[in-house]
Amino acid sequence: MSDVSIDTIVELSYLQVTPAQAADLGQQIDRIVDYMRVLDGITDSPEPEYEWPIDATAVTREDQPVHFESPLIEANAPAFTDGGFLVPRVL
Amino acid sequence: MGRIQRLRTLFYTKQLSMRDYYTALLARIQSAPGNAFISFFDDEVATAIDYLSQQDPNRFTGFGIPLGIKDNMCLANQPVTCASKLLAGYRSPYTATAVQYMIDQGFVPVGRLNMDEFAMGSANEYSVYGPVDNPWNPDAVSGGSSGGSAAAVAAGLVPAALGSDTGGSIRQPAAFCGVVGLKPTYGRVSRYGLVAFASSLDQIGPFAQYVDDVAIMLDTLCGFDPQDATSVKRPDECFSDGFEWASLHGIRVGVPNELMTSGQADVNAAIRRTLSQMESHGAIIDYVDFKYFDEALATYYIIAPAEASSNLSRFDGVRYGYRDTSATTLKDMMAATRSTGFGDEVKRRIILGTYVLSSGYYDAFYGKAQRVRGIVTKRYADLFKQYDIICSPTAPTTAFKKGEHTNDPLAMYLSDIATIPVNLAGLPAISLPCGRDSAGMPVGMQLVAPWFQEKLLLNTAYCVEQLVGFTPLVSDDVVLGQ
Repeated sequence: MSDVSIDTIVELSYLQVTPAQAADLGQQIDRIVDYMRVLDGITDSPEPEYEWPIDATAVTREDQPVHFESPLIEANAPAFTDGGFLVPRVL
Repeated sequence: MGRIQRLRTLFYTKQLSMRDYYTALLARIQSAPGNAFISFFDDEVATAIDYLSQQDPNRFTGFGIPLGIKDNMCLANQPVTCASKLLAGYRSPYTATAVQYMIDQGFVPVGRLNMDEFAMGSANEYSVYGPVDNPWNPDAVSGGSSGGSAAAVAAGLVPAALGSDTGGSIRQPAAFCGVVGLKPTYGRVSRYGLVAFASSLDQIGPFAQYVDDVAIMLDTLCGFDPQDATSVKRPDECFSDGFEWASLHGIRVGVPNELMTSGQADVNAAIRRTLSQMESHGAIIDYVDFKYFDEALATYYIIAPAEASSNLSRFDGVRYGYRDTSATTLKDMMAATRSTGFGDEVKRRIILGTYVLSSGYYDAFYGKAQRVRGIVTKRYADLFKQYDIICSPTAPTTAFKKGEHTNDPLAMYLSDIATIPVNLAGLPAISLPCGRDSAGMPVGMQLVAPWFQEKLLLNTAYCVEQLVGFTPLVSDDVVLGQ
């Protein structure tokens, strides 16, 4: 991760780590990213029709969301008041 | 005949009282060592027995069969935690389609099974509930991420369990624990109600001791589901019929050279021995270069973390589960919740996923990985013009010792090298035991078939199972309460 700070990626991930953890994570991810360089050796032509694991026509229909109510939706929330999820102040 | 059919017959014919069986079974499960189960559905089991005892047994494929469920599948009103602190206290408002199909056919969910947190791991050591012992050797890992499912079946605690497979999470623990595990074709089984890890790779599948048990479970699990946009409409098929006619004669089997020259020597020896038996029963064995295993592994560890970083963004302490209350602003609360709620491996993969999707790196990593995914899939399509089945070890080694790979994530990822390309291509694959290594640990053989050819896959696996004659760790009689 030479060109980008681990701290930036951690922040984008909505995580917090100590400096020691950041150093460890940076090293581990560097090693994994180095392994990924094997992809640079691929010279075969792309095969776009094979990039999605099933027949593309099966995924083009619209989602069919189903609305349901359950007392568990409220019970599962860490804080729930007056029909809404209660959160700390934004700033 | 497998355990499901035998147990069903014992209940049908009233040679075995379902109530007595479950009393003994739940006591055995609750006192079992190994950490495979993390909770039990005592009340629901009692209700199910009452219901089934008033029904016509012929209506139910799985009449009274106990079923373990991996802790990432929803069952209404029950906790589902994905073995994570982040989902502590969460109860599902609905039931996963695959689980509901099993219940509709008379299977009885008995409890939740341990797993790697959010299905990320290959050893079942990343669980908030602690690691799962391998029933063959408690110092060894059970495999992952569905380690609890594999261990529960191997230990004879249940004859059937459900797991999920994103990069080998059914097949690798099945291999490590000496049981059968099947990953169906992507789209064959609904993912509705399965907590998403990597949506283009995840698939629910069955665990059992024998191939015909897994076939019965697959009969039940399949079916189009409009609630899963990637569910595929297929004609009805019965996978569990006709095993008596199954034959290896003329089956063309391709064996990737790369997976037979690396890895543990006695794993490869067990595979070669089995291939030789298959050949003597009419299979045509041929060795071939697959060419893309390293590239497939790299591709997987870009695509899966990228999808995970997106899917797991919903766990923020607002709508469900655990919240860290130490922070005073919304942003800090979300970051603190995720940091103290997720374990190290999940955080590592989220960070990796965020990195490969970040501005300036997307094309170099994610875009490239998608293109290589197409190349890997095309390679399988080409191989299936020459071969009916691709066969290899399921994992390069047998179950390793606990803690052996925890400080080396890349070494852990490499243990999935044989299973991961199958998920990238969305193919069906099965792992079945084919012998034991010099330490007595089970060796798993992986068979891969073309898309939606589960019938061919199961028939071939059944023939191999008959040739190998693997002895389970726990006898059928114990599991059947005899």
